[in-house]
Amino acid sequence: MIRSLWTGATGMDTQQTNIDVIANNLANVNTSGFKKSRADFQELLYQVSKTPGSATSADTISPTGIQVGLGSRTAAVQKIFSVGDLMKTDNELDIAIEGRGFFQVDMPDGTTAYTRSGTLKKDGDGRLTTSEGFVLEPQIVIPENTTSISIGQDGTVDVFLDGETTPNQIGVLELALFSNESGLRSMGRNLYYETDSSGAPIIGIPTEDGFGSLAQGFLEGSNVSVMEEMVNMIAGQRAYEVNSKSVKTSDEMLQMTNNLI
Amino acid sequence: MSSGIYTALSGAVTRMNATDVISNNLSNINSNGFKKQRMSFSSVLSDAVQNTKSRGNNFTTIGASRIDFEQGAIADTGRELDFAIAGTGLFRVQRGGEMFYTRTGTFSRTVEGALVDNEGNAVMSADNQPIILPMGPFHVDEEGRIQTEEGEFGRIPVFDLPLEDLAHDASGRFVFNGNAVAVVPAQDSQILQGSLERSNVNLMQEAALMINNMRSFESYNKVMKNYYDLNSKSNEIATL
Repeated sequence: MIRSLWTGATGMDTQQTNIDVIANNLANVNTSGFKKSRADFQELLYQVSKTPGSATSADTISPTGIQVGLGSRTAAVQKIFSVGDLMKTDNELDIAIEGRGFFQVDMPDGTTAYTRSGTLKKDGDGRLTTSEGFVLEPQIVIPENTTSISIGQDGTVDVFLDGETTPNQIGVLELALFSNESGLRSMGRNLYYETDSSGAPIIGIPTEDGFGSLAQGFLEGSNVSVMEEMVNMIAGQRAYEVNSKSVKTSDEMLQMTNNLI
Repeated sequence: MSSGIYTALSGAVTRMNATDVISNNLSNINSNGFKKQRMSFSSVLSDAVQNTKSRGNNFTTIGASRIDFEQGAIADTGRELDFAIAGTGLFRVQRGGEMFYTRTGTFSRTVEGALVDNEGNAVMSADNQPIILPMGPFHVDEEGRIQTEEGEFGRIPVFDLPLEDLAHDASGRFVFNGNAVAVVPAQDSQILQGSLERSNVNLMQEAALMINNMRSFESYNKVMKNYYDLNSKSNEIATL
C-alpha cells in the first residue's frame, strides 16, 4: 500500500501533540512560577530501498542510494526553565527566586517536592507553607505576636514582634539546585520531583553561586509568552492541515487506481 | 498486447514513491534541524537498448534520493541549551561507540554535566570526548567556545564534511559513509546559543510538488485506462 498515507498520519499525530503542549502553556499563562513546555520532533525512521554506496555497475557506486522517510515522531517534551517576569505584589509572603533555585516542600507522604512558586502562606501552627498547605523545608515557624516579616535576599527570615523595635531572626529559607532541571518530573500543581536525570538536589543558601537571590513582595510570573505560543499554534495548525492533505492526496491516488477496474 | 501500459504503470509507481517523500517532508515541517529530501527519476533503458528492442517504449524508475542541506530558518527560543548553526557544518554525537552527525541543537545536560542531545547521546568535542559544561552560569560565543566568568571552558565544535556521503540513519540523524580524513572543523559557521534551526521544508513548494505529482499520477492512470479500453475494443471485434 501507499506509504504516504501513514506518513501523513504520523505528521498529524505529532502536530496534535504540539497543539496539546501549546494549549497547556496558554492555560497556565497566569500561573505564577509556571514553566512552559516545548515539544521537539524528529524523523521517525528511514526505509532503505537502495543502500548508499551499493554498486550500480562493475566500477561505479550509487552515491546517495534511495531512502524514504516514514514520518515524524515526538522526540521529547521538555520544560523550559527560563526565569519568568517578576511581578510586584507587596504581599510580605510572596517570594520570587531570581536564579535557578527551587523551594523544598515536605509532601504529606514523606517525600520532598520542589517548586518555584513563592506564594507562601501560614498554617494554623504558624509554619510557612505553599498555597496548598504543604510545609516548606526547612520549617520556619512565625510567632503568633508577629507584626511584620522581613525576608532578606539571602533567605534570612526576620520578624518584628509586637512592641519590639529590633528584629528577631527565626530561620533561613534554603533552596535546592539541580544540575539538570529539565530532567525533573512534573507533578502538576507547580511541583516537581527529582529523577535520575535531574540528579540529586544540592541544598544551599540563596545568593550562593547559582542558587539565585530571593525577592520579597514579588512573584515570578509564568514564563509563557502569549505571542510566541500563538505563532507556534498557527504553525502547528497549518502543519496539521497540510499533513491531512497528504493523507487526502494518498487516498485520492488509491481511489483513481481503484477506478481503473 | 502493447507494453505501453507498463510504461504508464512505471510512471504511476514512481509518482507514488515521490508522494511518499513529499509526505515525509511535510510530516517533519516542525522538526527542528530537519533537512528535506528529494527523489530523482531516471529511465530504465539506455538509448541503445531502447532503439533496438522496445519500439520507443521506456520505463521510469527512482534513480536516487538526496538530502537537501539548504539552511533552515533560525528561530529564537531563549533556552540556554538550544543551539543553531548558521552556515555549513554539523554537530557530532556519539551513540554506542558510533558517530552521528546532526543539525538539531536541542541539547540538555546530564547529572555529570555532559552535553547530550534529546536522546541522551553525548555531543562530542573536536578530539572526540564528551563535552562537559561548567556548573555555574556560562554562555557560548559564535565560534562555539563555552565562556564562563573564569574564562574559556571548552568548545562545541561544528564539522564540515562532504554532504553527499551523508545518509539518514533509522532515527533521523546522519551517518557519514565517506573517508574520515575529509571531516574538518567548519571555518565560517556561527553557533547561535538560544536559537534553533527550523526544518528547511517550504510548505508552498511541497504543496506544489504534491499537486504536480498527483496530476501526473492521474495522467498515467488515464493512459492505463485507455489501453484497457483499446484492449476491450479488440476483444469486441473478436467476438463478432
